[in-house]
Amino acid sequence: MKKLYGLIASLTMLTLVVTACGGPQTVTVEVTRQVAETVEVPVEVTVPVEVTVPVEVTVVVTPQPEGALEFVMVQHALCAWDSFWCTVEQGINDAAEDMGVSVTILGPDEFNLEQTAALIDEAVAAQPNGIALTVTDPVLFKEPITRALDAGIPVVAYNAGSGPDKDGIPYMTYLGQDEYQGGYQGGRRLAAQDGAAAGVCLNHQVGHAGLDARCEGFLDAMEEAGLAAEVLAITNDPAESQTIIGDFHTANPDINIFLTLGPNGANPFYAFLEAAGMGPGEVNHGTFDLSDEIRANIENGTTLFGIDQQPYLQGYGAVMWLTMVNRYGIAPGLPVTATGPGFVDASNVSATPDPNAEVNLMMVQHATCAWDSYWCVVENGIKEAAEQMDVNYTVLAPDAFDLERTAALIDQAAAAQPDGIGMTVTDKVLFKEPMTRALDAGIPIVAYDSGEGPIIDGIPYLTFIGPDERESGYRAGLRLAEAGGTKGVCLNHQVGHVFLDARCSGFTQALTEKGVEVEVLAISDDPAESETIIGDYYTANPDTDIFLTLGPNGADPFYAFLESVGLEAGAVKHGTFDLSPEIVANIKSGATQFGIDQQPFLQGYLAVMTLTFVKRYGITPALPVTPTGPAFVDQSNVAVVEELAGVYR
Amino acid sequence: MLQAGSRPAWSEAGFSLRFDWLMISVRTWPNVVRRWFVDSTLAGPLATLGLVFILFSLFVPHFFGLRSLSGIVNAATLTGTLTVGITLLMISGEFDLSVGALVAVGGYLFAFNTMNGGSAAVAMALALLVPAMLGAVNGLILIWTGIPSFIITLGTRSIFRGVTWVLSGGVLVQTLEELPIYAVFNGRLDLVNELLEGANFRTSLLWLLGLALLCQYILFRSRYGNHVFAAGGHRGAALSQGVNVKRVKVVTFIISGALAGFTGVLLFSQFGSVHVASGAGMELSAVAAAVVGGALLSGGSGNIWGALVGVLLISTLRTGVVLLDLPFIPADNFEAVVGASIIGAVILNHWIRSRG
Repeated sequence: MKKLYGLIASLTMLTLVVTACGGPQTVTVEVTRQVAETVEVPVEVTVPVEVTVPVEVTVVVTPQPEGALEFVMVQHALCAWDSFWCTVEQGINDAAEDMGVSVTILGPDEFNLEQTAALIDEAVAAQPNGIALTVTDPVLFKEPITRALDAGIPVVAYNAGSGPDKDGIPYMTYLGQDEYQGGYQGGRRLAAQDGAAAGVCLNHQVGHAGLDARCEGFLDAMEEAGLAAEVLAITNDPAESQTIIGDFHTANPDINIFLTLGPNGANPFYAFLEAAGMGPGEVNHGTFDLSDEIRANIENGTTLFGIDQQPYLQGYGAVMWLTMVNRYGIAPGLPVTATGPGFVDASNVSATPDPNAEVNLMMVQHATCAWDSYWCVVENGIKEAAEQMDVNYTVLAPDAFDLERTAALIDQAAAAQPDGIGMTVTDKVLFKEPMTRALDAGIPIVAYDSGEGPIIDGIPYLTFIGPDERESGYRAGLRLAEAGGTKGVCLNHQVGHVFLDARCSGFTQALTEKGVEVEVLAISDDPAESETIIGDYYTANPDTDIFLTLGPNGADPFYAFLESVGLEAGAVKHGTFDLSPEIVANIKSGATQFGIDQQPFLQGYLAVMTLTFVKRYGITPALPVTPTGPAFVDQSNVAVVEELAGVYR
Repeated sequence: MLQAGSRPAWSEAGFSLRFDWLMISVRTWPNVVRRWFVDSTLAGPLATLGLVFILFSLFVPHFFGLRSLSGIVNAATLTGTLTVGITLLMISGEFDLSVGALVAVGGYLFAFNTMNGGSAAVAMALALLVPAMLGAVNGLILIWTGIPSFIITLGTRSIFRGVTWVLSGGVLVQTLEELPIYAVFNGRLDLVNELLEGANFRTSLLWLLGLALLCQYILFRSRYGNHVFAAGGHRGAALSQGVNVKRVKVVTFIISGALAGFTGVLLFSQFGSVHVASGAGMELSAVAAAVVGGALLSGGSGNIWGALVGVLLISTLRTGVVLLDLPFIPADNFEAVVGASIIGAVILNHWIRSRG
């Protein structure tokens, strides 16, 4: 008998070896990665979503990874007569050099919007591969920008603009400061100070949307911290403002947190401090923007920080996005791509940029291209960025999915004392200790692909670069609801999974805003069971005409349901996350409106770029989550995506 | 456990009808019916299913009809195939929590070897043999260490998921090919579906019925079947009667593994895709179905039909609750209702059985 068991055992081993060596011959696109479920820290993420009419942004370029590219930048001011713009232009020129593209900068001789609008037409006439411009006046610029878009030229906005939705012009994205986040993050910093009691936002121009958004973010952060706060309107007359601040302080002596919204507020605030005989340490002050006076006060400790919109990044980013879309068809996910807030405080106020500094980076991942093809695309992004910026990097990853081993690799990476660590925060509980050790050693960390951002993960790394799940669900909902519908349903194949729930929650919000009834339907990991659940739901709710699935696990049974009910392609609207051969086939047939791609190439690319900017220019990422998606793959671009799949997509 | 009224079926040597292993034959009415209800492990579940079906037909809109009936059956086939193996194991007094992972193993092996012009025979052989051998690993660890199978398979459940990772490289495999072999295993039963308006049956139903018949026959008509009951009922008595309990258990694990592999074949045949997490959680649905179907966690009791009735009951409840579209039960929370109903069904089973 023992022999029999021995035989069975050895046969088993043999078969395992044989099958393992046989290896997969796959036709694959998507990867199912198992992310360890961890304890959720109850921190509320505030995503300021404003109700605007979404415009359909489509980029019609055929990507060519190797082509020579020419871009034209049109801006309302120039370095030649406004020094602010020298930083922007430096970013533009550096990006052009890094990426090997040629760039022409156009601008008027003095501030003149008509002339700037005329320059846009001049740019279109040159038929470049892309135009970047300042949307200083969305009404006046709408026509020339529309002419550029009609000519098939990709357009991005930088420095001035509000994003395609609010400007009502379907350009790709606007690169600039996220005002609400600036106020919110500034508020969080101020509220965290010892002895912080109550706060005030000094608004020198109440009614200005951007300034109001700053105060709103500040108030939300204070409320989350359990501190009282209010807005005080001051004026553009500094003497008057100084008196208002003084009177207010006399009436509310317990208020010791002050946020000013620029030099126009900071200047009278400093005058008030001087008159009241108050000095460093007696108040907690933060401000937007930087001026010589503000810098001096950051250095002497009166002001904790100045919030910078990081103009260098606006110029650099504009060129980078035009390059991305031309070479790889990769477009920014959201209407606004935040370049700020960037915080300037005592630690970096006197730092000088060192554009040629040597940069050594460590990238720690829970998986690698060697055994998971999804990661080849991520690593291509890393490689591309490193080559362009002349940066050295090492990728560390376990040779099989093993989170303990990955955690150990973080310590190994930190021991090499690199200039930065990029990593996947696959398990925030397990990784917290090694990450804290690295941060304590002064090594900047960014997360990519896996993570939820420093606030939710509870680890103070710089940013998480990856999909913003809630926002992706929201944009998907807007797209599906655009042509109207009666009832929508989000098919969630794993209720309780934080990311998936966030997708459904965004979708639900979008449909509710559009006045469409919406529900979440729980399906399971058993596709046969799920097919029946969807069928039953449809029978009970036959007016359902909008379906969102959260990946192939939901799309598979959905297609089976379509087939069994005999619904024709397009009879109901369907959008899904991720791409798989079946989803691609259904996009082509029209059964599926779109698949959402999380742009892994961009995750690797931006991780390297962000860490390099921290080291060389002290430029920090603006948001706790730097979104790389959603990128919608639909009939207009599915062929292009398919062609680049596995390398760039 | 409420074993008072239910003698282990293997000792019922008195059954003499030719098809008594089917457990659906009756001799004389109504006395026998009453006794059968008390004795049979099938009666309780069947009565519950009947009751639920009648109630739903009366009160749930759109429930009574071929569309929802075929939906209920389709949703039950994958879990049902697993449940057949799980029930055998539970009768022999063991658990297998690793079958969910084996579904993925079977699915991948079948996928890799049929796609791109592979041989169907090789694909089937591998998709059944490898999970069977992994099942044997469970059994061998059990008899060599004596650790409870619940613990062993809790461990191998993760290990086999790891095997899936290695086997697959972590990627989703999907095909758009429509090979004849896929139609054989889980295609549409067009002959039936065209005859019956609204029906949507699939070939997997026939495979499941065939397997259930085969296993029920083996269980109640073969020496091995007797030994399965013996191994799970009274181990000491079984040993003294010369039953090789160890061998029986290893063989049962092998069968359970092979059936899990076959479930993977059915899965890939219908949906053309398999991923690392395929089959996750199915093992628990299968255990639930077996229990609802009258199997005892302590072993020695249960039968295949009962288990299938259990799967159908759970599937029926789900369909009913979704169709009801109750305003106070949001669509993402009907599983809770199904869960509560499972407990209710088991309580009802025991009540019927204990009225002997």
